[in-house]
Amino acid sequence: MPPDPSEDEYQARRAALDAALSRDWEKVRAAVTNVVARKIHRGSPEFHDVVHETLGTTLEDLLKQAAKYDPDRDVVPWAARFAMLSLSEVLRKRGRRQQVVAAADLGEAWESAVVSYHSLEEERRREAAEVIQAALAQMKPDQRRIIELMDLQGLNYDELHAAIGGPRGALRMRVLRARSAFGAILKRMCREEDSQ
Amino acid sequence: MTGPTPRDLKIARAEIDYLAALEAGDLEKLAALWHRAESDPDLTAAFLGLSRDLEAEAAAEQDSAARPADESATGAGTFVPDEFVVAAAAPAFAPPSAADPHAPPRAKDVARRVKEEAAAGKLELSPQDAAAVDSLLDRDDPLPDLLAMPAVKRWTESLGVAVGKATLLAFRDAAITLSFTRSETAAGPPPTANFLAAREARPASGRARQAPADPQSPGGPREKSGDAPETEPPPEAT
Repeated sequence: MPPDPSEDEYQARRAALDAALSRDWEKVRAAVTNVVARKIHRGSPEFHDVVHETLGTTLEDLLKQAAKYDPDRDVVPWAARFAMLSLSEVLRKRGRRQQVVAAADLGEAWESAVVSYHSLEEERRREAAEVIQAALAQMKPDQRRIIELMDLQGLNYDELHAAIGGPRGALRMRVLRARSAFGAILKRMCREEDSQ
Repeated sequence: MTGPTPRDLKIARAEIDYLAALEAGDLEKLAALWHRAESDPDLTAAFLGLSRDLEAEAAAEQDSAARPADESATGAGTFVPDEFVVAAAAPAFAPPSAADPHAPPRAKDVARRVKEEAAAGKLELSPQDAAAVDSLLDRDDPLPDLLAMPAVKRWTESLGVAVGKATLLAFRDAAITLSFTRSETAAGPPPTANFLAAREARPASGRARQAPADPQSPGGPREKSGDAPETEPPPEAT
């Protein structure tokens, strides 16, 4: 267990935490509001209440943990982790945790398919291509095209934008949603194969 | 492999998992992903970019949802004064905090919050303190700049209110929470420095500072489900 920091060191960490929060709190708020919005409609008064209660609780926790704050690291992920756990508690108290389900590991399925597709081993690449084609056939056309261009042909964001058009600012989310949909289909195919 | 680099894959995979956890409401997984980001600046940047994009997406959705509603409410060629449009859109009995959640808190906001906490059983108010809090429910006085206990005590006295220590602590904590969470304005970052610096000085014992002194206050020890990031990181979701 690390030794307790000296008074001077504690005050320095506290001041650094204060400065970092003043600068970056809005980023933590954005992360919290995005998560709350998945549970509670943004137009509802309860939405603001939950965001406020979560941020207030997070702040209290952060202050209690000031001695452990590392000024050399970004405060946002550290605070965001506290915020997610605070939100968990706030929602639980409000009886809203029953709807929570564990998220499927879609990223793993996506990564596995893409890595196999670009593998140097001929057999592995061929098998992956068959699975990928079967998954792509189940996708919406616009999402399928994004996967084909970005993940299989290797286009970057600028090239992809030139190819498919649409608002540039929304491109990243379109790619992410396409990849999530692709991962979900691959995951489902795996489950179906396992059950047979 | 001639496709994406391992680094690209790692970031993209984490982004997919973040979105999946967000959609599922899997807060433990989100916490675990942020824990990973603590030691990975690229991952932090990716999650922050994702947050920004989601905010932009939500704003665009709200805009597109609001536009047809406004048009149908007013009708083509019909003049409707703005105040009627606003009144029609606003909930009839919305609390003031819902009407303008970003307005700086006033004495009445803090008093309302303290009353809510008392009603929820988090705080016990003596009849005198309850009457004192009630007397602030229609006061528009701004909060003091610093929210240290002596400053809050002087401020309540200047309003002609005298309450016990536990109520004063609850009042101070409610003021801190409201000040902090309502202060996101277009003008810039929240003024955390004022009230963070005004918090009680560090206790002499390192152990003592891990637990607030007054369990009655909203900032006191709260019920935890055992997943607080005190010393152990949250378990990685599988």
